[in-house]
Amino acid sequence: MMESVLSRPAGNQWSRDTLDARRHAIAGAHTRGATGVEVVTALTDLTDEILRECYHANRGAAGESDPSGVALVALGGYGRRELAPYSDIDLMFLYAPPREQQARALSTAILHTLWDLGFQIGHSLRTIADSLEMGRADLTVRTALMEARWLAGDRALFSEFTQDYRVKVSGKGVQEFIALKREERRLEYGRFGSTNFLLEPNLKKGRGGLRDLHLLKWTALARYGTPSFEELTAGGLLSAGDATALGEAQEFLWRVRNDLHFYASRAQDILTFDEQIRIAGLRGFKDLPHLLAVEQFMQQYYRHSTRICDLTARFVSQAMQRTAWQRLAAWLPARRIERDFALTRDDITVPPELRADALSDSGRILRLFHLAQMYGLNVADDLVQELPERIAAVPDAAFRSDVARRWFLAILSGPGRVAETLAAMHRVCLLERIIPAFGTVRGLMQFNAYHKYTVDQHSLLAVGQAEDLGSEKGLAGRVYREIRRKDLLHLALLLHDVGKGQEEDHSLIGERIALDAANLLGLGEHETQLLVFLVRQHLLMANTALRRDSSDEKVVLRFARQVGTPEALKMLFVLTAADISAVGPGVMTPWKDTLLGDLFLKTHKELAGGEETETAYEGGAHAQAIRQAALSRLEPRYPSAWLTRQLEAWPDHYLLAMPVERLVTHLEWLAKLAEAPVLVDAQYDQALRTTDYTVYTNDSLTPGIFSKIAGVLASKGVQILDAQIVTLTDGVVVDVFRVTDPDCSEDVHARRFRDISGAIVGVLEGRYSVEDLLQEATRFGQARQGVPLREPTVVQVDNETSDRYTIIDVFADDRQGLLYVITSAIFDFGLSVHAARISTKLDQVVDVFYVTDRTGGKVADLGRCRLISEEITGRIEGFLGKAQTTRQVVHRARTQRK
Amino acid sequence: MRKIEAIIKPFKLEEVKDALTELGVYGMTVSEVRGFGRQKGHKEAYRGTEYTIEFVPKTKIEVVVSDALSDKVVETIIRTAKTGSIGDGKIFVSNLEGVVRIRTGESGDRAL
Repeated sequence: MMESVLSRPAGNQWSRDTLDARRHAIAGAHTRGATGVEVVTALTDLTDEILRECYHANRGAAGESDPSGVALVALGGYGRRELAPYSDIDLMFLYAPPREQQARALSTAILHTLWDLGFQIGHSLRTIADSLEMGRADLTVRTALMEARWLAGDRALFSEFTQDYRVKVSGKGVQEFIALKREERRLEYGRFGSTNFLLEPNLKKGRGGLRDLHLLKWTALARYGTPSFEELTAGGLLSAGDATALGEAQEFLWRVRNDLHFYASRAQDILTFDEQIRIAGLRGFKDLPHLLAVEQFMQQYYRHSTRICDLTARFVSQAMQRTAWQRLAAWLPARRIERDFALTRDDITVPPELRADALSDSGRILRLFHLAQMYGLNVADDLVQELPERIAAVPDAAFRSDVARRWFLAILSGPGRVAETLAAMHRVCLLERIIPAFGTVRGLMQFNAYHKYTVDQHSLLAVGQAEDLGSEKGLAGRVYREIRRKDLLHLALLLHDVGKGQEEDHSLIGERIALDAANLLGLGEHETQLLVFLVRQHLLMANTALRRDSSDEKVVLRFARQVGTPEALKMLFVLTAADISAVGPGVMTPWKDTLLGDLFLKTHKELAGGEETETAYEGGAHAQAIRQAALSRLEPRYPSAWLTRQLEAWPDHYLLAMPVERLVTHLEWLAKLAEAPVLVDAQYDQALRTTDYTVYTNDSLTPGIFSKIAGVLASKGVQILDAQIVTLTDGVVVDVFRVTDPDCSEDVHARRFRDISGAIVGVLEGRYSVEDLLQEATRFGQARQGVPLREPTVVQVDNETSDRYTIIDVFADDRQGLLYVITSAIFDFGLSVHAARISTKLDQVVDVFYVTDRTGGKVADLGRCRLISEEITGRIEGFLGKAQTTRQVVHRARTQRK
Repeated sequence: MRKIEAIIKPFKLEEVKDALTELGVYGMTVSEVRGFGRQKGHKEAYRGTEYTIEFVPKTKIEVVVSDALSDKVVETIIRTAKTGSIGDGKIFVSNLEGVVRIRTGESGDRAL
């Protein structure tokens, strides 16, 4: 294929035209399918030919015909014979000191010719002594000189140089040289992409690019004296499989890079979106409905660059493990754990003789990574090399064992190094054995200008971002630290985009994948629901916060209803923040952060009942100050022992949310409680046009106090806006109901107060029942017209948020008497309500009840939780359903278990 | 030519953009900004700690249009970005000295 290329042009004189013709011929061969190796070799040969001819033609310029004492030397990539179409050419004119004049004249003549031909030349004029000195002083020169290749002139001089150079420079300080090159490369990553999963990668300098292959070759050259994969394999320094993989990857990169250079007619090394599309087309990739041609092509690129990355890192660190300390350390007995694992200062490994046994066991393999995570160690390089094969031999079913699942969940929980460990597992193809769906997104790019990373990389990065949040001071950091099931959050982050690359909406596929993963991992019902929710709705919070008005209550309510529980909200918040950050640097802005945080805070208030609830307090000192203030106001009038006892009976969190005025009023009423079993205080607020009914009694008086009061208020036709229950430690109950009174909207007079207060006292003292009152009320035909459409009723039982109480959240359309229906259902289950927050926003209620079981503890039984949820939902639906014809009611009850 | 800068509520962007496109405004620069005017930010409490939202997130759009279109554009932004509540934003209109399209070197209205 190359014959035409290698034929000489007529005459000895090179012009741009003749050069272009030859280059063109090589480009033609490339287009017809010449391999990358063939093309770089042909280009090197062509350049060699030109240089040699130039050298011989200009030998006369040196003033004599004898070339001895001057040599033309190729360096760097040209020395390695790896020229891309528009690569720079590194040349050195090596001369013996007496021949300086001639060498200078020769170099001028040759360089002028080459410049005129349009070559980009890097050149130097040196004696052997100069070269040795420069090689010692400068890392780049040292590297370039290692790859020196004779082109023309004095061969003996060149041999003398290479020998001297090996003995005096390149053979010395090999360890340090490799370390320096590795460091140099690390800095380069910073500038050209710290991951090989950039969407517009630099083929040469980016991570996983040709430069990594060079690093491997330099290392091999410095340490073992040869850069050739074949020779390294023959010497047992590189496995045959790895050599093949490296060869394929090199070929792939060369061919793509040649294409970029030829097409752009310059040294274009960045694989831009435009070029990706063009080259994918050239390679014959076809768009599939769910996967573009360009995405298939890039998936190939990522596979190759990942291999280069991994193999180079491993090869280089193996080549470095020759320090005196490490030789010594190898003799020290490594710490052994659980028989199979050996821990050294830097890594964890399985002794070779135990591998066949230990690495056929899925549980042991996962435990290996779990230990690596716990001890902050890497898995030893030679073991990493072996693992993919070992893992492939383990049957699928083994990864479903309880032991394997347990270690995997332990890795997901952390704390610390979760993302790092998962990435290590991904590299050895372990992750996809546990969650098969993860294999489908390996190196899958997202062809848009928004994402910077491939899907698998983005997912792993998102886990890392969440972990990083944990050490930050802001709201998201705080919320992350509060999340108890971090394993579920991390798993959700890992899976949230796995549905991509297929035809259907990725959230919907993601939902199924999450469900599968949950089954494979043996998650419980509640965990499964949470995971599925997070994956399915991973865009919900971003969409709501960034595209909706979160100062609109309706928006917040709808969002709260979809999220359901404080636990799910917290996870979704952190997931959203981490997901956005993992899209690329600078994508998460303070602007987005503020919008997300604001929505979180507003929604949390709805779901957890805000500041007045049991979980939401801090600052006992402040509460003490409020007690003190109340004490000083009341002291002269009441015995101080009684006052102190009363004040201590109030839980801190109520005091924090209460003005001192109100506390004083409460205490004044409580002092009168000795005279009557039930006291009712009614206060009309002129500005708000609402009335606060405060009921003081003792919880031993009658069961279901809260429910009964709610019933009385409903029967009297007032609407409850808000309710608070305080059960003091001495059993005294203070229930505050804020209501509006549609029947007396203008002026609520004393008679109305007496009527309602009297009814409350009557019911609590057992003189008549709520049902009597309700029946009485319906005689007046309280048929209220319903809203034609309504939202489904949702009842959630939450055991996670509070340590002491089970929390029941109820979302429903508001209707006169609804609270009574809910509270009597709660009462019928024998639950006591310790705190409640009734919020009516627009035409919906969000009611939060903190309850305990008869025993005073949480409702621990899952079945019972579900029963409670279903029963309350059923009763609400029954109650609301009577009042109107509606669209079909969606019944959705979610229960949570501890 | 006039340069019109509007600070609007973030969730109103789509609506405003669509309306302006319909009007024949083809170029627009959009940025995420934070700031405050009369709406001084607010405080939210979470478990006893207050989180102050000092600067309110807003979206800034900048369009450059011919004098003739200017009033229509302002009118349209007002109509679409308005919610009637505090924090709806502001529109700044200024005279513009010149515009140059970098690729072709065209200037004035032709560069719009």
